[in-house]
Amino acid sequence: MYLYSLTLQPGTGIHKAIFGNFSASKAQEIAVSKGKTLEIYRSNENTGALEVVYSQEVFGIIRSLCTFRMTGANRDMIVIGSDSGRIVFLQLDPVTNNLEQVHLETFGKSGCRRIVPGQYVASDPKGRAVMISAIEKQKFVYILNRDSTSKLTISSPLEAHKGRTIVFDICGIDVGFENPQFACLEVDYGDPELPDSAVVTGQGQKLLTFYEMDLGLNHVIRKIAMPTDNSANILIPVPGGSDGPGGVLLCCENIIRYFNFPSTELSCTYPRRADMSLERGLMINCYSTHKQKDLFFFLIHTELGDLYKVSLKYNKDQVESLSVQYFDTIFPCVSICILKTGFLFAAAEYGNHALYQFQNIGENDEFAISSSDSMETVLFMPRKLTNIAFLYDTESLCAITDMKIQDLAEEGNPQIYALCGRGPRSALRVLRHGLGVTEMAYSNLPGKPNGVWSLKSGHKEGEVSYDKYIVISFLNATLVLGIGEKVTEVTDSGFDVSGGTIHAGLLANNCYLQILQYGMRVIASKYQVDPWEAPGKISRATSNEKQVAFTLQGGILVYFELDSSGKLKEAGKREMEQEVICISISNIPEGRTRARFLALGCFDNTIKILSLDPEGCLSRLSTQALPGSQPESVCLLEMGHSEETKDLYLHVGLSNGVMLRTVIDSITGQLSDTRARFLGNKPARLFKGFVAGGQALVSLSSRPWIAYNYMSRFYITPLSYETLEYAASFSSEMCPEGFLGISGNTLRIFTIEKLGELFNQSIVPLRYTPRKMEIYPINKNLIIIESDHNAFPVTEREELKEAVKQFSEFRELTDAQISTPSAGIGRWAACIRILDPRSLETTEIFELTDNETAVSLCVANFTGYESEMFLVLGTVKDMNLHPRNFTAAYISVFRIINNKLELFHKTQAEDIPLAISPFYGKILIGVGKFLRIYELGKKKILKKCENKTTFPNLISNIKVDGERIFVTDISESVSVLTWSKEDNQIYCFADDVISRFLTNFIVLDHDTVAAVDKFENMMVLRLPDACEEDERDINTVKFKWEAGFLNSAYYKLEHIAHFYIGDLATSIQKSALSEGGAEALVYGTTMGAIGTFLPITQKDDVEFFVHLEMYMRQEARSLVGRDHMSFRSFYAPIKNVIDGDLCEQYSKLDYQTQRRLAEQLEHSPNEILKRLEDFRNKIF
Amino acid sequence: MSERWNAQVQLEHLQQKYAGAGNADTTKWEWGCTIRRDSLASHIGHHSRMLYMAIAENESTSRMKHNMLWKMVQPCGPPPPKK
Repeated sequence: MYLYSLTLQPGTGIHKAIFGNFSASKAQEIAVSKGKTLEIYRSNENTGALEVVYSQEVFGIIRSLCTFRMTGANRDMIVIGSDSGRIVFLQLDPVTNNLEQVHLETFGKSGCRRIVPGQYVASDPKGRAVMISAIEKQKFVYILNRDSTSKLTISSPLEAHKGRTIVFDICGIDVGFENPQFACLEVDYGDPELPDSAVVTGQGQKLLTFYEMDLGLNHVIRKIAMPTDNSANILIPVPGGSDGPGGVLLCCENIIRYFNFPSTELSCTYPRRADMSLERGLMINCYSTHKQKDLFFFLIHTELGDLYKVSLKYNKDQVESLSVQYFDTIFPCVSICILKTGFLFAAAEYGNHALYQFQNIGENDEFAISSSDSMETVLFMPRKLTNIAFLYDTESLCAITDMKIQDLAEEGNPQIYALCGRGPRSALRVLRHGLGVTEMAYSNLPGKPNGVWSLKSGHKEGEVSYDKYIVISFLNATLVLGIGEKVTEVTDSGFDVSGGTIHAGLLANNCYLQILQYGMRVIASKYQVDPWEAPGKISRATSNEKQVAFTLQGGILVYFELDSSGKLKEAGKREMEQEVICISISNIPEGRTRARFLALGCFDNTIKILSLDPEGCLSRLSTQALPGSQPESVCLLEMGHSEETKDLYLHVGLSNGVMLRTVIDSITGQLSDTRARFLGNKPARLFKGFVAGGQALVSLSSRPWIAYNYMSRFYITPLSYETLEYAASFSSEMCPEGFLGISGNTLRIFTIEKLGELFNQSIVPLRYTPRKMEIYPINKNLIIIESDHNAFPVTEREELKEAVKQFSEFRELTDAQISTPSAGIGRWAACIRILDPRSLETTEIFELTDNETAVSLCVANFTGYESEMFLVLGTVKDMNLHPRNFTAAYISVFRIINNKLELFHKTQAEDIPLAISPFYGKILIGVGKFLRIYELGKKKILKKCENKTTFPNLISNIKVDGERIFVTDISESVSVLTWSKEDNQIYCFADDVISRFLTNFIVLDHDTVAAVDKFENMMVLRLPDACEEDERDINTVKFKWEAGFLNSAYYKLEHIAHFYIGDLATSIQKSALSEGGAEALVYGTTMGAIGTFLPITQKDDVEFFVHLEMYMRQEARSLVGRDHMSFRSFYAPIKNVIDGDLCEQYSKLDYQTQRRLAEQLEHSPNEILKRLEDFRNKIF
Repeated sequence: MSERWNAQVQLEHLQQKYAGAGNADTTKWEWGCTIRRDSLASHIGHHSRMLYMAIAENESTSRMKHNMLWKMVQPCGPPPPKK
């Protein structure tokens, strides 16, 4: 078995974001690490909106990021600490927007290890040195210099190691041009042999340590170490030298301190939320520094989502006071970035990220300020956004906890139901394959149109022109709409509105062209119309700026060209001898006088390409036969990622809903490399459009689709929009890249945003963190269990809000906006929700009381109650996580009547029922270490059978296939058991040789399971063949099974496939993602990624991809210097899985390399690209 | 003799260089500490795993990291009393 791994939607959660000027000195850019992916966002100069300019999977794990600016340089580099055991310096090329490695220095082993640096990086603000540190012991300092050609040179690493020391944070201190200094937060755990060391006493002391890089001696010294608060977790460098007093801010719980070597020390408490418990410390998550010529301040961000502004009052080098001022409240973030143009980017820990705009920097805002002059705690409650204003957010699935793929809404294609997020910001997100569409306008039309065109106001040199007219054709009339402030009908356009229009266009001489059945009209203005009468009835027509072609009924093709005097002249005529169904001319390539090709779709199921060159005009260059289907529409379009790689494509929409895409050789007109795509069950009509500055193709079938190039990849995606019959591009000042669409007798104007995304989301906010869900089979409703540790149930939360009612303003804000305070360890809030997936309405919320939390659920029917489906729920009272204990555990059975829950009965269990599964009229429950079968009784569930050999820790999941029961222990992988009816016993006969901490698994077939674990792996395990034979007669083998093998089960699961995903997958499912698509394993991860494993069924595909992957490992080098093979084998060797994400990097290689690899693989580059595309298309 | 001494020196060098490299006298407690510290460091290094654990405890990832770093100081309790 071979699997092809493909990430459908890369993770959207952000791990760290840093602000910098990467491409130019004034460029406002943010580098974002999404764990495995590095992205660069650039702020739009006019709107501030962040645009992705670079995105690259690094095939490694980015653990830390910092900016680095060489002395005297005007832009930043990015320094990355990763799992590669190497430090990498990257620079953004301002022209190509590509990141280039400036330096890649190896210092240690790969992997996220304790003593190998990479967890922290910090740079000297003056750009002379960089420190990279491990969690324990090792720290390296690199000195950076310029050589005579002003290239960056890097020294060999200087050690600043300190054994038995845990590092909490590091930062580079601004000391002007004195020796570079770095501050570290450390705890020395000491020698276990010494009685007073921290590892013996358990009483560690956090130290603020300064390391000085002596540039003269080329040596790092540990200058000073002073004890500080044990809760300190973040170091913030304060601008120094000529910009400020220097020194460092130290964020501790509840208090911020300022230190400047040798002696200055100030501290200030944070303003505190009034509803926070006093025992709970307030921790800072992240910070951002704003620095301009005469001013600097810091924004620090707490775990509750509050922003505080920290400012220093100082006189030369002497800091006089420190103040912390409440700024505003957003959601909890992992990183915040202040842009110099007045924007704030907030990278959420869970859920959507957002961009805010500064309204004020907190001047004259006395809402809640504390200062180092008084140690009094200032209390407040959050208020509405005052100093910043919300601009927009970007959707993120971050932290998918469970996922189901099924067509519950009965739309034909399955939807993905993903439970996402944490606490009050959690949500159920319904994903549908397709791009989201923003409708700008909608208007009814007097009839059913049969065509729509948009016409620009005219060609002007060096100016962007927008559309002036919309021409809509009906059966026997034409409607012309003028585009101004409003879209209204115009009567003085000069167009003939008395009949239906076949084609409309704009010519290079700024005249409009209208083709009707009787002839052609060239319109300079209302009074200056040049008509031309056709010798027959015109059936089809096409044009570009200088060329016009149309066909007459009966198959006569007439071709006109605009001559040098600006007049249309007949340039050719040809008898096609059959009816022409569709016609298309390409746009004029830049620098040419005419387009060279004309495509005709003919009645005999062929596409003919004709030459438009003056010599041999209208001669046939090539023909494409269309097997078994008539062409409906053709479209010649030049598409590609950049000017150099552009190709002319022939697109053919067939009457059976398939679209063909073929490359036309720009010289000979020969056709090659045809790719087919099924769009829907209606004839496919094709129209031109514009997306992301390039040509795009709108294809309309039973669903509208769009094909475009974005971020050097070709996308063909359905639009999440109604069925359209006709379309055209549309451009106005308000929406430069929009579309016109005709649906029934309505005209719509819409735009497409979120380019490159595969799914479009509908969001239902939830009350607590969702844990698991089930589908209620009778009415296909979703049942979701939500629970939060360390949180208040809604009723208590209301009481708490009431207690601080003197702060009135916050009552208008929801918990999702302001976050909830923590209630204390061992406090739980939980509920069960029933939700209709069609209307997305909640029909029932059943709040659990008495500090009970729901841990498992299943829907089952029982012997004796065949007509009903029950909900079985496992709950635990007063659960503690570390160590795991509780006061009571229950199994409750509910009836579901009219979408409401009705408790049937509740049975106490002696351990945590973490897994429940239906089992042929009974239920299987994992109660702690025991696997049991229960039946439904009148007052209780009744224990019928228990597994003899217990599980090592806690049963976490149960799945049933036939007689076989697959059970996972929380840390001991899968065991396979069977239930013998005769002696009512459960026998375990197979288990795994490796203890895996599985998060989820599925049974693929009777012998095989696929599983994902907490260490970011995916694996496929299979039972040995001998099991089947044994199972036929359990009575004879049961003694053998019971005896086991080496103290565990008799048989061992075989390891079929293994892959390191790099993100922790929480759910895995076998499903097709589209109607008619191939079945694949689909997983969702905590970073919000959705990926698939597609089985490769053909032997030659396996061979091809194995080789391609091998070459790609050499050519597509990881940006952080991680070896691909060792990354994918992080914990166990990769086995039988092809990394499709790596293979798809092929399209990003330069053409020379593509050619070279293709030769080695004995294919052409196009064949390779086609195969890669084919595999992607298997899914959708 | 000198060869054996060499091996000894090499071993000591390795132990010096790599924290947690064991020897014949490594106790169960020392070994446990090494394993726990290595695991904690690995959890901190993988952000997607931190998110998973942070959901379970309903804490922020920065607090989870901070708690785990502290746990590395004394991961397995105090050393057992010497016999």
